Amino acid sequence: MLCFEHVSFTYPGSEDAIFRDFSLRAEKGGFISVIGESGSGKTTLFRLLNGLEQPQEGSITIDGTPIPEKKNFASYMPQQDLLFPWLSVEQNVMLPMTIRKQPKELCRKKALEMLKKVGLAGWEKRYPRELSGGMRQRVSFARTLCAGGELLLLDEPFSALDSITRISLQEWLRDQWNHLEKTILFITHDVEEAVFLSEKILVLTGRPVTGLTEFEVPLPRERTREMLLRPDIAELKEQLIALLRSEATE
Amino acid sequence: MTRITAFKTKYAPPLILGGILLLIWQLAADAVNMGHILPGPLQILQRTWELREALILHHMPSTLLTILCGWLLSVLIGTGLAVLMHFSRHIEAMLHHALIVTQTIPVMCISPLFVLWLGYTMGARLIAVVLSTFYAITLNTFDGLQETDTKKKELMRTYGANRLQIFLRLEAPSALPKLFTALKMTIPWAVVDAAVAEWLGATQGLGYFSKRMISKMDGAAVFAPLLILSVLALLGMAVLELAERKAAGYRSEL
Repeated sequence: MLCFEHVSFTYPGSEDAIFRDFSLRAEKGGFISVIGESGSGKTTLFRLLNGLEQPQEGSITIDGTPIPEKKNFASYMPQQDLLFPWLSVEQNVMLPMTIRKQPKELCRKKALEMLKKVGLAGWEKRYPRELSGGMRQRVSFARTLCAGGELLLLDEPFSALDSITRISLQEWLRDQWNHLEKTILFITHDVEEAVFLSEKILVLTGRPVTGLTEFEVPLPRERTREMLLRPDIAELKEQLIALLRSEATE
Repeated sequence: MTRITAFKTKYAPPLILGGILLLIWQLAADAVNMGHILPGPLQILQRTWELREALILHHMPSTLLTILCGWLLSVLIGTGLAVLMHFSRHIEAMLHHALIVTQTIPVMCISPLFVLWLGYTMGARLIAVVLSTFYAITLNTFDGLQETDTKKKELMRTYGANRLQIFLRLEAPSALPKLFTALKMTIPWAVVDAAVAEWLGATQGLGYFSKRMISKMDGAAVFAPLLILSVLALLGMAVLELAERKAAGYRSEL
């Protein structure tokens, strides 16, 4: 269980707080989306979870243990693929493990396994420039899996892709998650994407963020795109859009 | 077909320009007809051929050694300073202006001093080569290191990478293309300054030979060692281009 308790955070040198007395609880094993306008604190939420920033007040805990004492609990997948162009696909995927000085052979085996999982077996010796945008994001996902965290932090991973690639990667990610025992926290600004992918949607509210509104998505584990046309889902989307709008104009 | 197109677009223009300039030079030299002070390209080629043994076997090795040792020393000092400056803001602040000052000194004017200190030795010539080349290497490498993608650095931090790992696995490869730019800039400078240093204080070498021929009023023989120096610089550039394509072909993807 992931827990934010009374967290306050302001970027050093800035006047405006991003979070004030913010609390959040998220269960293990879920697919949770966080949506909001840009500047609504989504990315800061991830930076706090990553340990890239420390809250000035309050605590962030995983199963009761504060984050600074936890190691490798969260794996972060950035918006751009950020693959290293001088490394082969395989070496890119191995990176998080080689940084932890795990034995080379083990890293290679795990990397191949992950590449197979993301449908890129046979591409391991290629270089990022030889891959399409969608393939690069899949390599980036494989690298995130190799980082070994229980919690996957995906920061708008599909926002830079064309819409067809994006739709197929959404379906692919949903399918991956069905077979992984991981908690996914997914940032997006796309309501449809959030509804299709997640079990639960969080909207950060207030500026600075002081709370959040939760929505359950009433879709089954195995889902198809057609289900998005159901009346209850359409209504959920409308509710989300209305809330986001009111947040934006505040 | 593609090879012919490549030739047309890449190699033909410089060859045509070079040919025209050489032709004008030759015609002008023939018209003036004073070979001892204005030799044409053909006379220079001929004289180079006549002097080939003395130039290549006797004078070139010493010059080549000065160029290579000086340049490698410069690469070591240049990248070393860049790394120090990259790791420490204080060192950067301390060195920044001092380094600029070293670049305001005309090497040619103070090289005679090096000769006074160290005699007609290789050491005196190395100082001249290093002084004229290390700064470009420091500056470019430092820039390359500093411009490393912050997002990639943060990604490394989320993987638990320490400062050294970030440097070796991310910053150094990110700076490599810039280092290559500096290497390609400085190789001709190293060649030129090695020759200048020989002009001012040496008992052999291509620069020394060229200077001696001036006193003999043998224009073609002044140019002959310079022709060899040019060829050396071009060879050096070609090797570097090849190495860059192999080792840092990802410049556009950074």
